[in-house]
Amino acid sequence: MFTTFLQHAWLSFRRAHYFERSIGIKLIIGFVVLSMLWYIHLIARILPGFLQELYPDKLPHELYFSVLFVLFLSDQLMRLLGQKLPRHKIAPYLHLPIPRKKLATYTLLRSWLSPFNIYLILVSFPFLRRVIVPDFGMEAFWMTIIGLVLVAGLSHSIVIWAKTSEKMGLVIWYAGLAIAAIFSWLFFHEIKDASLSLGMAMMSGNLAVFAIPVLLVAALNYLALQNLQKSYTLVVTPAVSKFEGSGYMGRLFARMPVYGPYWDLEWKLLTRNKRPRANVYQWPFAILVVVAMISASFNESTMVSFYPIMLMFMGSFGFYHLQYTFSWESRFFDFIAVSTIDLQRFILAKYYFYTGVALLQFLMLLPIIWFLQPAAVPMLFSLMLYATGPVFALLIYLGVSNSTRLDPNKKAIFNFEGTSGILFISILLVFVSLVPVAAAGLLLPWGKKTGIYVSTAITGLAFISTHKWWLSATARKFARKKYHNLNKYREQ
Amino acid sequence: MQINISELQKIYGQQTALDIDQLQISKGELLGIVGNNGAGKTTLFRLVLDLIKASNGEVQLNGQCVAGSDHWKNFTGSYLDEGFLIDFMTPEEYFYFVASLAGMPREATDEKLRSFSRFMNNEILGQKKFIRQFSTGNKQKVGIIAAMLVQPELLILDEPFNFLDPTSQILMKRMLKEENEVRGTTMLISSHNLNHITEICTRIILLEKGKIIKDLTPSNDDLQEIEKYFSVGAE
Repeated sequence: MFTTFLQHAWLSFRRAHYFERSIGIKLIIGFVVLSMLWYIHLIARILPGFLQELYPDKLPHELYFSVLFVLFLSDQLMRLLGQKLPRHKIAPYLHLPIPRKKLATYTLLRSWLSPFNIYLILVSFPFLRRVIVPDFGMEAFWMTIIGLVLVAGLSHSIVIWAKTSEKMGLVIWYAGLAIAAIFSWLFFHEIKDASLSLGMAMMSGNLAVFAIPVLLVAALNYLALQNLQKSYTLVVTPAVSKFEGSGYMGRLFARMPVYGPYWDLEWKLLTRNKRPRANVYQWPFAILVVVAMISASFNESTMVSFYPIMLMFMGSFGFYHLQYTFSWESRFFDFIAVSTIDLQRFILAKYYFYTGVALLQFLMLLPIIWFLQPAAVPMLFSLMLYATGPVFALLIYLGVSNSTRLDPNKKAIFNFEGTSGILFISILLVFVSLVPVAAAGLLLPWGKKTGIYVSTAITGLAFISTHKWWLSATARKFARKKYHNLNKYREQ
Repeated sequence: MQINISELQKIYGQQTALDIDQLQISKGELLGIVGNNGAGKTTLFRLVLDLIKASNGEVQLNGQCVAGSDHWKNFTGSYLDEGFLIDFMTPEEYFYFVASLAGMPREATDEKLRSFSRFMNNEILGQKKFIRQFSTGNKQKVGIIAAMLVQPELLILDEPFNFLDPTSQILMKRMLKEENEVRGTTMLISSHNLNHITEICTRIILLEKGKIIKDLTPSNDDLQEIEKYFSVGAE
């Protein structure tokens, strides 16, 4: 039976939306994955030197081990927010003559196939290899990796046990997390030292360090299996989504004249549907990541490597959403088509909304960056202008060409099913377009960097000041494609 | 509110989904459209609402072609399917949004919504649920109320009796008749339920494979004729 389950799991993965794409999209996904790996590699190269500069009396791997407990707590926090039981995977089997125990066991095993169990090892792998292998050898490195696998496994097992235990397990878990957080704050140095000792023991291959988590993992999984069988409804009952009202922002937008109703609609679309909501609520964390990257990694030579990433960040979530202009509304576009909604005003409202968000983000970032790395301010300002000018223009234009029907309330790893390869690859134009702009900047008389910033900003401003013209052209283009897009929205 | 349809065709590949030579619908008519699945009822509605492009011909509302224009949206209310609902809004938000597009003040909207209270049966307003969380029948009610809310001159409903309980179906018939008689609203309604159609409609057209094969004024004889048509098809 488990072989069948695994076969089905493989088929469901292989036949998922994100594989039903053209070669162009697959290439671009490959590019994105490679870029992420490249950044991990880059961090692994930069971080040891950086840490050595900051803490000359400590070795990089010791510093890593001393924050192991903090990493574990952060991991628990992320799992608290994001990790779910793969309940829905067994829904189609419930009416079939399959024993509950088998389904419960499968649910438990399937839960191990989670990105939460991989990311810590993936991110740490190149760094640890670089700092451990030269001085302590390959065996010490692999022992550390096995230790990390156990740390991730323990974290996973705690979460799965708590989430299958209904209320009491969750209460114990929350309380445990809160106590651990308070302790790590009160006894910061002691816990740091204990973490360091644990890491060093892992590296030296101390069996006791491995045995304890293995036993804990086994016990927690046994308890989780019991829980799954006992409270079977927890497996079969789908989670009920919580009702949320308009909120302050929704009411504020609704009261605004002219574009108010359109912004209200956009806000509700963003906050009440699974996919866009994740972006809205991850956005503040993204800012923290940017700030951390800027403060930790930027110097004259590395700044250029982060240029495209910074462009994406400075466009905020408009960078992501605008390429799906109207696809988000595809489920109710028939309504838009028969109502008195003005298409031109609709597109303008969208542009102002996402430009406003990008500007707000920049204003929030400004004092932090000014404090941490003032040299980055002109670059980020020019990139913000460039993102809200030509980048948004290109994204909205491509978005209008995109006749994908999207269900914003469904979750998916990637969010562009149905998008044509050519359309997707053309997003690369956003980054490529920086090249001639930067080249033009080199011709300016204010030096290399300033010249590039100035030419980037001027290009951005040129597009921003002419936004009504190009948005109106985009609306006309959509009007020409109306029947085609409506047909696709309706029937895909 | 005059509707003129002339030489209207919608062709998908080799298949003709709709082919209407001439059809005039006068102001205040309550036109029922019947036909088996695939007869072209929804296609006709989509063409009238400019949701799909006609292969040939045109639809004129008040003398103006609907294709590529917006004038008709100011006096047309419609509900064809769930694609007309903004499913992440609550019914209240959706109603206010639709009303605001027609420049209807909140008080007037509330007043109008009160007139639908029996139809809503305490299951629509104040439920603290998004439209997507409602049952299919209640979603249907939300769509129908939204279409009728702004008192349009032309009302287009595709199979409005579907998914409704018997009481709601009776209320629905009353509402449509009243709207038609009191305000003179022109209506295009499709249904598979012949009794409902013959009871409320002032005119019935029968579609088969995209063509109008009968254009009747309801009477007992006509009902029998339509019933005979469908029963022959079933044999």
